This record gives sequence, C-alpha cells and structure tokens, in this order.
Amino acid sequence: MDIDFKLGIFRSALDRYYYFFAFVFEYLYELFRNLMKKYLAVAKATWQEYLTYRTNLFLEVIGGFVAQLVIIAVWFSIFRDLKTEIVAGYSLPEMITYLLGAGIINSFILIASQGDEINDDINRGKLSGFLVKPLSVPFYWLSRDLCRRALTFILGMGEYLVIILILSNYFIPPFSLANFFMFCLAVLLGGILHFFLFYIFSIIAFWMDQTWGPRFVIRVIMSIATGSLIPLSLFPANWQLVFNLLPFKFMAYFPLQIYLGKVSVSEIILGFSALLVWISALIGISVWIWEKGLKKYSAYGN
Amino acid sequence: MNLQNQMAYRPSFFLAVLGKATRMLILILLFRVIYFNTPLLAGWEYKDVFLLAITYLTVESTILTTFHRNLSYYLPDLLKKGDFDFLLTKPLNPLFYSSFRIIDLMDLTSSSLVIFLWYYYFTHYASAFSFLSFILYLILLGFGLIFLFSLLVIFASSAFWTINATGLGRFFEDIIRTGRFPTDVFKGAFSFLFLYVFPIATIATVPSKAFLGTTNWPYYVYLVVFTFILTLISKKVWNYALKHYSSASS
Repeated sequence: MDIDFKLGIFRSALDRYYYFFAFVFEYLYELFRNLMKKYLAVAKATWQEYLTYRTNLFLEVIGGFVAQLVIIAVWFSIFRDLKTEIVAGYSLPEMITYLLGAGIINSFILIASQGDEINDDINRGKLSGFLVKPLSVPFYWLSRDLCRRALTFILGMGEYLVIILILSNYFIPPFSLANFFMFCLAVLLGGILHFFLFYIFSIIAFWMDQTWGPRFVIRVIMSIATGSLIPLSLFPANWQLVFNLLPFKFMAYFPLQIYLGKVSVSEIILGFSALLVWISALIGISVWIWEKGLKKYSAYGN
Repeated sequence: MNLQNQMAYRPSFFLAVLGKATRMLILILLFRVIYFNTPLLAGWEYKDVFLLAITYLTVESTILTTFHRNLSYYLPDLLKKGDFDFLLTKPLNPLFYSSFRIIDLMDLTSSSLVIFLWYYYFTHYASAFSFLSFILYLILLGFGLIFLFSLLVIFASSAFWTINATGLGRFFEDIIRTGRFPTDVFKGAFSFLFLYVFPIATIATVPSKAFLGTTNWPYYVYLVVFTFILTLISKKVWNYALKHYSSASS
C-alpha cells in the first residue's frame, strides 16, 4: 500500500516532469520557428532589395573575377618560364585550382562595403527603430549580411563556372568527398568569422562617427593575409609566422588547403579548433561591445 | 573646405591613409613573394618589375586623387540628389568640374609613399637611362592617363540613366588593377586584347619598357590614334548624356 502510494506520487511527479519538459520543448520549438520565420522574412526582404542593385553587385563581382584571372595568367607564365612541374610545392593544376577556388571564396567574403550598413544604422539613428521591434538587431544584420553573401556568391559562382569549364584541364576535383565537405564547412565558418570581425569594427560606431577607416585597413590586410592572391606557404618563413597568428588565413588559405588535400588530419582538427576559438572570441567581444555600446546609445536618448 | 570635410573624422582619415599606403606596399610585397619563388616573370627581373609597380602606383595615385572618385561616386551622387543642376549653372565646363571638383586628400597624402618608392628605385635599382627615354616615359604615362580618363567618362555617363552607378566605379578599379602586372604574361588572344582592343598595357607596361630602353614606335603610333579616337567617343557620349539629362529635367 505504502509502495503503491509512493509509486503513485512518483508517477504523478514523472507526469508533471513530462508535461513540464513537453511544454518547454514546445515553447522552444515555437520560439525557434517564430525566430526563423522572422529572420527568413528579413532575408526575403533583403534579397528583393539587393536584387534591385544586382547590376552593381554583378559588376563588383566581375571586377574581382577579372583581377583573379590576371593572377592566374601570371602563374601560367611563371610555370612556362621555369619549365618545371612544381613551384613551391604546387603543380600548375594545383595552383590554378587554388586561385579559382580563392576567387569563388572572394565573391563570398571580400565584399567592398562590408559593415557600411551597420555603421550607418547606428550613426543615423535607424537603430532606435530596430530596437523597438521584436527582433534581435545583431541577428537582423546577420540575416541581411548572409543574404548579400548568398547573392554575390551565386553571381561569382556563375562566372567562375565558365572559367572552370574553359580551364577544365587544369582544374582538379577535391582530394576526397570528406575533404570537400570539410572545405565547405571551413568556407562557411570563414564567412562567419569574417562577418563578426567586420561587425566588431562596425559597432564601434557607438563611439566613433565613422568606422570605415579601420574597416578599410582590415580589408587591405585581408587582401594578402587570407591567401587569396597567393598561397601563404609561398611567403618567406617569418611572414608565414605572422599570418599564422592572424585569423585571416581561415577565410581562404585553410579551406583551400583542405580541398587540395595538402593538410593532414591532425592539422585539419587543429585548424578547425583554432577557427572555432577565433569565432567564439569574436562573438564574445562583439556581445560585450554591443552591450556597452547600447548603454551609451540609450544614454544619448535620455 | 574639402580638407575640413575629409578631416572631420580624423581617426578614420589617418587609418584610411595608413590603409592606402599599406595597399601600395602590398603590391611590392606580392612581387617580392613571386620573385622569392622565381627569378623571372615573363622576362622581367625584379628591379624592372619594381619600376613597373611604382609606375602603376603613380598612375593609380594620380587618378584616385583627381578624377576617379569624382566621376565614379560623386557624380552619381550629385545626380541622385538633384544637385547636378547647380553644377550646370557654374561658369565652368561641366565635364571638367564634375571630374576635378574634389581633390581626394587621403589619396594625396598616401601618395607621398610613391615619391619615397621612386627615391628607393633610383638609389637601389635604377641603371643608367637616357633623357630621351625618360621624356618618352612621361609622354606614354600621359597617354595612359588620357586613356583611363576617357574610359571613365564613358563609364560615368551611364549614371545619367541609371540611379546608382557605383558598381561601375568598383569595376573600373578592378580593371585598372590588371595593369599592375607586366602584360607580357599574357599570350595569344589575351595579349592582343590587352595591347590593342583594351590597351591596359598603356598603364604601366609600355611606359616602363620605354624607360628601360625597349621602344616600339609602330605601337606608339597605334596608341596615339587609339587614345584620340577614344577621347572623341567619350566626349560624344558625355554630350549625349548631358542632353539626355537636360531633356529629362525639363
């Protein structure tokens, strides 16, 4: 009797726990669904907005494409002159594949006006309008940014596919299927790293009137330190040491090394770990700056 | 007034100057890395490519300081805001005023690095050169600038029809960047394209070769004719665009 009574209590407690967790789960699911709905709506509106400027985006991407083709011509010339199979550990097809891959990644990450919108939203007071809306402003900016990246990526991909077809004799497939998936993951994480890096240098607009100065400096450094112009392993050792200390190599050099199978499994694990540490650190810094900045922004309003 | 405007955000101004100077040094670094792995690039030695790089940087700094931003970004902005009418009332040639209205002081400041790079070239790499080749170098540099100006005028004229033409400005920047490498790296159809159809070689390769003593007189004649025709076309396109603008506002 006593046992049955205890079992009854246990069952009812279990039921309560069950209902409680079911409720929490359902609540979280709904929350996630609503969030996704919200940000998908933002993404959809952004997509439409950017499509209006598609010619500008297309020209931006095609300009980078032409510049990358010239670098490819330079390497064709070097291999032709040296009459050698391998230069600095790269065969000609490997180098061409590397540069074409870097070009595609560039269309995904090297967006010229990255961060302008965030800077303007803060300085022109548009942020106040966003803050009263039921959405997270950083997520709003992230959804808009991902949308723009997707569009420039599609435009870039189209252009590069044509040149890959023309240079198909020199374009080599990924080292393995696993390498290809890891390459895609690394590119995606590299894009997130890139967003947060520029995001931090855009939200310092809470303290500065204009932030394009620091963002421009980063873009200039990125043009060489991502390895999209030339593989970083071709630099003298002391330069490589510097590049290894910076996060930029994860945006192009690291994914392309995975694609070509030029890194060991342990190096891949180490690389991904470092990449995640960089992303976490940048997210942490960005949250801290955002909160400090928001306090300053609210203080202005009082 | 321009200086005041551009210096209004002082930290950004100095960082932008720093960024622009770094961008110039990155080009030199890029060549150093290439030559770290090869002794020759399309027959060019490092010291000659250094001349090519600083020639390119001289041209780039000149156009960025003067007409590039005016035509690529400020003109579409004037048209969008409806301020171009005010510009037309000025007793100045609209094309001249639109092209040289604002002198970019950030680029002007960072251009001082180009002077230092020239000094470095003359003290470290330059071998004996004749006065004639130097004059020829300057003339060819001038033709390169006229070619780029005419091309940009044609590009910028499209702003009279489109709302936002800034993409063309970025495209133009990327296109001229192809001139920072010796055009000898191109072979076959591409070589023909960059020498005759779209003579990007005039930006740096042709003047640098003249400076180094390799002349090609028949090509110079072609270049003169080509630049002259392009200038005429750009003038026609600009006038047509202006006409279109007047009729649109009336």
